[in-house]
Amino acid sequence: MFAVTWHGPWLPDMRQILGSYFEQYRAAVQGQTTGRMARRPVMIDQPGLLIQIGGRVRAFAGRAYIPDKLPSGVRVEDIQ
Amino acid sequence: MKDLRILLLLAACLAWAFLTGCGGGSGSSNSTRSTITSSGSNVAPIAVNGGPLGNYVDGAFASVTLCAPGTSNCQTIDGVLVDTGSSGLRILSSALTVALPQQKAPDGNPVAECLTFLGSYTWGPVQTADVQIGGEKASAAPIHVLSDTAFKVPSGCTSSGFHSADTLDTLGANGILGVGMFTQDCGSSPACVQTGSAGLYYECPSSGCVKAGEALAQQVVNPVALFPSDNNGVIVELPSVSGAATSVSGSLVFGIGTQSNNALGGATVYTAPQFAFTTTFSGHTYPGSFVDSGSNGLFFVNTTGITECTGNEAGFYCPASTQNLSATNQGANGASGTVKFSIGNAATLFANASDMALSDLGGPALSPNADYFDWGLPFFFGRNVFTAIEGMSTPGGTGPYWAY
Repeated sequence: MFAVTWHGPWLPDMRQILGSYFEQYRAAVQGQTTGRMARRPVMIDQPGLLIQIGGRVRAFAGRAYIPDKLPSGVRVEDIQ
Repeated sequence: MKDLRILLLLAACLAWAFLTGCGGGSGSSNSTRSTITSSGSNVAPIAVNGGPLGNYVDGAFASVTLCAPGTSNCQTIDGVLVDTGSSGLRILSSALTVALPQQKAPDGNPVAECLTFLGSYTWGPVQTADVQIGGEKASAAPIHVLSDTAFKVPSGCTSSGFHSADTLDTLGANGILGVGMFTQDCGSSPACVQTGSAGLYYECPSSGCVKAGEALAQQVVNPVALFPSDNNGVIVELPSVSGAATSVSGSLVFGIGTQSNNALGGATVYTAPQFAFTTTFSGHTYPGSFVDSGSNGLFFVNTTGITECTGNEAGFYCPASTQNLSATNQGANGASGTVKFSIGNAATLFANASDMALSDLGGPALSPNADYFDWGLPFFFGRNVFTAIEGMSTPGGTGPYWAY
């Protein structure tokens, strides 16, 4: 598996979706601070793991993928 | 001070009227220069002032009074974020001094809730309070009390990977006042009322909290919907901001077309039967778009190549120079209008630590598959924005809709 996308009224169980990548994701998402309080889309761009989560209460969407495992010829934009 | 500001606004409007006509609906961007209502039993003051810690950008804050139901045992809590993107009142346990009754499930177990926002979750018991805002009162409203210790946080609530926002430091506010289109926070779907698979509501026997369905009438409720009158929606009224300001003040007005101070006037109604309307930007169409005072910026798919911030500002835009852009909103009713907006450099905007009202703050929505344009708080500057609650009738039709 190299990519997961989802959308729905509530966030999915990211532990289940990310498996062994969950701890890396959690550390990254909790480590982002601006010194300003702000709600914003989640954009994690790390070597080996890209995750984006957006939307709002009752309408969330997101995707996660492992760049190294993208089959050749598949572009990030193709992941819908 | 406030009166002076309103007089100045009025004077500016009168001067401007000679050129273009005040509030004249041209059907294009910035068509309605609106004044801010300051008096009335259905009016509560709000301020974009950084909140209780002085570090919250583009958030509007109000005061809320909570009472033990049916008593005069009350407490006023300020610094509560006004959020038209969610529904229900959430208050930090640490800010609460008045004792409120715990909600119990039919089997006698206490009820708790997990509500996940973008980047953080809120957790804690559901309790009942009389909620007073301005001169309005919602009696015996279920509210969400935020605490990581009243009941142990279940793993289902941490499965987002997000951090808890149940303290002042992590929430940046003393609570969230959800006055959006929804009547309840979860709603009537089976995942909410029957199976509990939505993951919002929990029953908490001594063995630990487990997901449970929650009857609609017990769910945390948009307090406006419980007001005896002025209960069909709200208007958020904020003055315009040009670039950045340390703070601005405005009003949260309850009711739409129920009193002389909350008429739709020249505002255009954009119906949103699925709680969304359609925004077209740069040739792309986003049918899941929404207006949300609880979003700190304007968030949309980056189809025009705006430079995005990196590092701690990741998630915002950082163009070298301010981008002047426009988009078109269309309601399900066919109403359509253009909105002009600007996107500035978030790192530069944040560099001035005292600026809390930023008109040009924005960021990328996840690309390329986001279906929405998120019109956050910058959209509210210089507009009176109406949010009509689902199923409620107004002179502009039945909610849900936005009007501005």
